[in-house]
Amino acid sequence: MTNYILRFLDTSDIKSYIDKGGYEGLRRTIKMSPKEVIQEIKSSGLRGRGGAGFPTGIKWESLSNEKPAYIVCNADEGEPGTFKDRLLLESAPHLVIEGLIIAGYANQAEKGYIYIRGEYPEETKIIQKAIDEAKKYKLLGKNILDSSFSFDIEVKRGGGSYVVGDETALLNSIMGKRGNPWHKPPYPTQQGLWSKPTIVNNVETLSCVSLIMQEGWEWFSKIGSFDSPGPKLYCVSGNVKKPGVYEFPMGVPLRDVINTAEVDGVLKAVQIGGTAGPIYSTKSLTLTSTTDFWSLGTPGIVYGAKPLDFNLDFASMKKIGGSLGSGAIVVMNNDAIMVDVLEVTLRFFAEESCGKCFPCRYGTRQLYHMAKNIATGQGKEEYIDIMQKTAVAMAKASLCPLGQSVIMPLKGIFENFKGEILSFIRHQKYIKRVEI
Amino acid sequence: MEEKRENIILAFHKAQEESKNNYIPIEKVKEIAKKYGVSLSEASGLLSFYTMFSTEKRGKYVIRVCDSLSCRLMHSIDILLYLQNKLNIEEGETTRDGLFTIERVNCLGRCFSAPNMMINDKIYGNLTPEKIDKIIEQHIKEAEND
Amino acid sequence: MKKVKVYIDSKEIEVSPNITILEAAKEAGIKIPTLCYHKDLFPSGSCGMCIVDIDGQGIKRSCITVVKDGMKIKTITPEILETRKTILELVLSSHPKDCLTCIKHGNCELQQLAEMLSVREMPYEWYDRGLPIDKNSKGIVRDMNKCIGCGRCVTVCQEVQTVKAIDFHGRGADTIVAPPLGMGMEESVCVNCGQCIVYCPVGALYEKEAIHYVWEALKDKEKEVVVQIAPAVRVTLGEEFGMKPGELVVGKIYTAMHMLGFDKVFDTNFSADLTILEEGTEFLTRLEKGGPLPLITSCSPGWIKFSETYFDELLENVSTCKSPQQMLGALIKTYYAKENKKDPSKIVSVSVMPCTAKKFEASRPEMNASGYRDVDYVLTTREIARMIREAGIDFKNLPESKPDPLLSSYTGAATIFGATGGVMEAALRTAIEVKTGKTLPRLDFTDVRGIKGIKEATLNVDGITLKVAVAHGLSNARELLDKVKEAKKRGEVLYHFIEIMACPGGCIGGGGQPLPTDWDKKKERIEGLYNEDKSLPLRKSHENPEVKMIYEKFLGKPNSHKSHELLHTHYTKRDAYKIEKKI
Repeated sequence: MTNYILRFLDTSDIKSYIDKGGYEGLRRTIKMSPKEVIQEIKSSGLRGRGGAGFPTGIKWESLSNEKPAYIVCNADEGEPGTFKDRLLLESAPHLVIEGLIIAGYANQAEKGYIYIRGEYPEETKIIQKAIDEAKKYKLLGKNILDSSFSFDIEVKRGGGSYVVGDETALLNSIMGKRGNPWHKPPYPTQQGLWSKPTIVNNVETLSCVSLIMQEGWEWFSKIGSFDSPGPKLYCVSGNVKKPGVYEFPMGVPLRDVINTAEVDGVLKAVQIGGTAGPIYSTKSLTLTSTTDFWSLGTPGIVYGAKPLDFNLDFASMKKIGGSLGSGAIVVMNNDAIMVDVLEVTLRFFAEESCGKCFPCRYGTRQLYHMAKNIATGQGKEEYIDIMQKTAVAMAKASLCPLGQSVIMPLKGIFENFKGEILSFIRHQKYIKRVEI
Repeated sequence: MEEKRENIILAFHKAQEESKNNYIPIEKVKEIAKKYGVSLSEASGLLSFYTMFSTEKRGKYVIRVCDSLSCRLMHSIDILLYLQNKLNIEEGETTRDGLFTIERVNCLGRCFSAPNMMINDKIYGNLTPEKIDKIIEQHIKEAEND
Repeated sequence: MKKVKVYIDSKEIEVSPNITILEAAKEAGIKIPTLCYHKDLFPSGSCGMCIVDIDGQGIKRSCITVVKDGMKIKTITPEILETRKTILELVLSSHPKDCLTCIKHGNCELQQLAEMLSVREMPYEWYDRGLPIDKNSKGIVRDMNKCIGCGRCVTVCQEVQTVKAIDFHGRGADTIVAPPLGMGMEESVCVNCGQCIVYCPVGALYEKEAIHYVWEALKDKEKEVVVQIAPAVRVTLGEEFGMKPGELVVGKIYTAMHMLGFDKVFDTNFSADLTILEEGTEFLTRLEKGGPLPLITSCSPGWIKFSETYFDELLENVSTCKSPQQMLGALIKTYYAKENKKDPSKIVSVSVMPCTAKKFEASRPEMNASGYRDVDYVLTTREIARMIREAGIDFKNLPESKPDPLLSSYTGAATIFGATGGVMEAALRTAIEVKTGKTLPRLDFTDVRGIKGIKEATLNVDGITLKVAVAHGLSNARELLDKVKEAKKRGEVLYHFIEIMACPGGCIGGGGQPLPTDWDKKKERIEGLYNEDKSLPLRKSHENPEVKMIYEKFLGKPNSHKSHELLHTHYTKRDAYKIEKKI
């Protein structure tokens, strides 16, 4: 298994990055025209790695011509279960910086921002140091590599908010305002920072941009699957023996990733894509006669692994009603109590909702309230239907993906574990729970 | 750092770091609002949106315990309870000696070392009660030397 | 512009290209429920009530989605109805249940929506937000338990008025609207203009009522309770009783006041004419002396506090004249008391105003030139309507009557004070005639009329080119005065005379006026005032017989020592960044 991205770990020192071939992509870029660079990214088929999976080349192409234009690197990694951007920022900052400069060149922007979440202070220092180094090597600033292209990068910090990971909320935060998303249209590519055209790209996406310009679009397009080419960093955590960032080509079967990380105990459920990802379980399994068995350790019963037998790329996840999202994979074993998973998930949404639109602002509060009641032994059976109805209304009428996606984990939990939750509610007076 | 509105969050971070108690004194909020060209109400509203900031004094060390899914699966609640017991304060409170504040936060982006906590700028993972004892002791010693 | 064709609920309509679906539906006569939307303000898209189903796009908010040619829209589907109801049930799950005693009962957009969507059940568990009510401000009460988070008040305070006293604080369901850093409205830069009250759909923001005190005074046989009626009230009080905006009901108001038990009913229009004499003289004096120019009007207390906070460099330009309310208040406890041999300590001076800032103005420490509080209580138009209703008076069918003499006769110039540009026009009618000594051929200065935010006019007066400007709404005031400030630094005089009104539209759009309000109503109210002006026999302030009499008998002449003592005031610089916690 070749690590195309992860081979750049430990290159926070610019010399070590250059030794591995770093900034060759930028050198190649400067010799092309901006249009040619955009075409290269388009041909590679690169899709955004932040969560939405929008084709990067098409996003760049749709940028309005108005000047000045801005490129923003979204380093506000807040999706629970995701930690790949932290790794890239701390261990391969130049890979990210090179991608940002290339994006600036292709989109004829002179200013780039890296918006890094406030809870990553060490990574902020590292990336700033890397920027200063790049400046010294004339890879940033005026007349980069003696060309007419000038580009500057400023680091901005977040203050503790998950919703600012949404691109419009991020832009509001950079402009010094409260991090509320805004309704699109207008799209940032038409009216972003200070109403000027802006591109927002994820850390990993920009890292891929560096790789593409280093190695060529054809090389990139051959890795991974047809609709989602390229290598991808998958973050595995939860009840696994070897949690961490794993690089696989896009479209790797879920089982390969989970097996590499090694389930700790008996696999019960998996959440993919982050907190707004659906939850898949092994409970909805049926006995099959396929030879493709996957022992889950439960004595005597061997389940066919068909329900968890899907690939991790954008098209495959969409086909089963989910989304790849950030590529976060949280594994739950039999000790995991789904009532608690419900409470943790809904508490997250309630605390992170920006409060602008009514469905999400009021909906997340009521959902959390009900989940907390269930978790602390004061649940009611009616809650389940009310919660579903609420999440459905939020999916239809919330202003941004945060509120719209609450239905995803809820659906998975209720579809696969309704019995467990109902049972919990029915027997709650026999269960002692700590209220926290 | 130019005194433009886009740098206001950076200014708040700096002011908070400069205070010894992880907070931004109200007079500083006023100063920053004036300098960065925003009204007092906008600065105040902005500050209250971002949970890392506080206008009330907190401990010299703010302990942020992660309680999102991966950390919860790795028993973050036990870590939180252990800390609360050890320092004799509840979540959101500060110890009498002004050293520690406990806060429960959402995903810190280090799920592979769950359960995690941050103390000011440093993150500590794979926590156990023994590790926590050592870390707290380290900080108490550090505070004594200041 | 080429029209676009859209289909709304199978109705084919042609509309202008750049409007939203909500506006297009309105043109087609289809009403889509809304909550956070207000047609005067830029839509925020917060509530989600206005959702519609767009063929090929799914559910979108109609208030922020622009129509495209060929769009097929459904405003009613089971999915939409269910979603709207769920959102409303969610909002109600944390909204206080004290409708019966709430000030907005019967006029609340949340009530109307609940009725429209037939909400019968509360599936969610209701919780009390437990927030304290901010009652310390002189003009405005803030009850954040009732705030639904629509954001209209923030938009108004931050962008329409640029006072920037309040903003959103917190996040998620804990979001509230508040002044900064835990201050109350009283300690903040709030100027009490009450525009936030005008736009609040529920009872989260309302005027600080003085009704109770006025009833007490009326009950007290020892007290002589005197009331004055503001210019703008006479064309708007009728709205509270089902009459049209702009309908002149002043005769009925006088009757109602007497019925309520007020001992004397006077008219602020009298002192509006008086103000013109005082301010017109002040202006001509400055014109002669060469400054300080421009002279800026001072009858809008919201504007006065705004200037003290944000434009203290221009305080020397603001006229020292008190507002008509305060002038009349001072005269009631001196001139009126003297003429009628009344003990001023037993007089209770009440005013009926379209304005919440007047409550603040009446409480200003320096407003006691008479030796007592010049104005004891201020009632907004809405409050006097409540008193009239409480007394069981059938306002609509009242006969007309006259006010009490001495401080109540007025000219057309006074009555137009309630409209933006009215003070300017009234002042010009007097100042130009006095300066030139010649009768004006035309009394209508239409250049300064209308609802444009900033209006300018250039006049030729006896060889002097007079440049005047009028601004209404504090964002327009700010824009105009920023230019004036810059010019002043360069030693340049951009305008000689400026009228500033804090409220958009002038006093007829004040914070105490009948609700709900919008620009269509405001235009009708303005027209009502100019119509009265046209119909009156006297249209110039210096022709007012009672005004002539008060100078002869009492004040001497405009800007005399006595005038200065009773009718002029001074201002205090205020710090926009002051942090003060009273609680």
